[in-house]
Amino acid sequence: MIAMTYMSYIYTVVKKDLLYEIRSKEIISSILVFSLISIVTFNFAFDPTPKVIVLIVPGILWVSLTFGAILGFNRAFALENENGGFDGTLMTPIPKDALFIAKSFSSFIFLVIVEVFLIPLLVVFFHIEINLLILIPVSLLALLGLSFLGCVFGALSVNTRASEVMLPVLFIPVIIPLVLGATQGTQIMLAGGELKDALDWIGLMAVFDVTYMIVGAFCFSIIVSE
Amino acid sequence: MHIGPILKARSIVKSFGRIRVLDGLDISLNPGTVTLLRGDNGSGKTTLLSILSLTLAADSGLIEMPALKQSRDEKYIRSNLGFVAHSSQLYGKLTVKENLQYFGELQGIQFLSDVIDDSVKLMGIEDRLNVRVDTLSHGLRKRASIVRSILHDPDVLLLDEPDSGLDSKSISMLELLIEDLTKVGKALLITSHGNTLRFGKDPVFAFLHEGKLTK
Repeated sequence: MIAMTYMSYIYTVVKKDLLYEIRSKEIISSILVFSLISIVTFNFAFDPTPKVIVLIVPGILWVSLTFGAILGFNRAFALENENGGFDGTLMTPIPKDALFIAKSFSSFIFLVIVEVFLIPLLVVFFHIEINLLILIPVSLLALLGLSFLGCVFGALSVNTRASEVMLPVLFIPVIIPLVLGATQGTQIMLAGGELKDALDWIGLMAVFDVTYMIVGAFCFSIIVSE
Repeated sequence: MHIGPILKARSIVKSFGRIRVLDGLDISLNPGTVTLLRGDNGSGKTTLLSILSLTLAADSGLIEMPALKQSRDEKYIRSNLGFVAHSSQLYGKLTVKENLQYFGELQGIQFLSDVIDDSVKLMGIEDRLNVRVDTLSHGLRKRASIVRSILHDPDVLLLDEPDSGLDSKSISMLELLIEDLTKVGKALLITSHGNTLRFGKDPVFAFLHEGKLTK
């Protein structure tokens, strides 16, 4: 037997998740379709002036992504449970916190791919200007936090009745600080602000990400043991 | 070969709601022995196997592998356990080979490609390696699941109704595998309702009733 390192466990699970997604295309497509429909609907629902755009577009982006992500997490854990593949993974010596980090990182990659598709659409629909210097750190921290929490609550709700309802009920109240930070950071970008103006929100999101990761790893280990 | 039980479970208790399925159950699995677990439907056979495979937590009790240095460390126990459950525990959208590579890598198996090639021959699925699991028949999935469970050469193999859905050719392969594994000192715990499968030369019979084992 080869002594597996913590990183090699994570690498193996992420590699499998990416391969599985390339084959099934179920997770990214469910997040993307929901987010796209939301953004298109908002585009028709509002007739925003440039002033209003600064106020509503960040909300549209992050609400669409958050709800889309919920669908994605539901799908991801339902796929894991098909044929008991997840149980098979749990039978291996992989540390449960490494499994949590791996599943979160896979989800993070899927969410980043979706956002890369969504941003150009927002630019086209709402004629906004993007400052990548602000958007990249805000987005990465927000999506990372979403992924950590989504994996905890996805694992928790997948075996419950009506998991489609259970996941948002558990997920939304806890994710609010992160969505608030992401929305405020994006708003600063759209108002023409600089990176230093958004640092407070970026810092807040970083703190929440670290908290979600530590608490998430602990809770995930307990949830998958039951 | 290790003397004494390879796997010991003591005072295992498991309840679902108000129903106590396992009530202070003790079991030991010895090297080179097939233990045949019988019991009525709902008597807790699958629950016991799930607990022994560490995929389900017991309410209380202790599971250990005395031969291991860290005999109660879950990570080490998992490295020495194989489990064939009702479900295949394979990922449907991946091929048989991709599944075996994934589980083999997580088990830290050396020369994995060679090990996979040798293992699939034991269950006669070498020509299905590049076929997606969700396109396989139930019997072939079961065979692939058996290969997954023995890939890391575990000392203990838990088989939950391994003969269900298997044709006579597959059953013969499984019987041969059981015989080979017991010859090299592996401990096997098997549940089965049917009488189609022969379980080695001298299986130990255990009957699960009201949460306890009787011989």
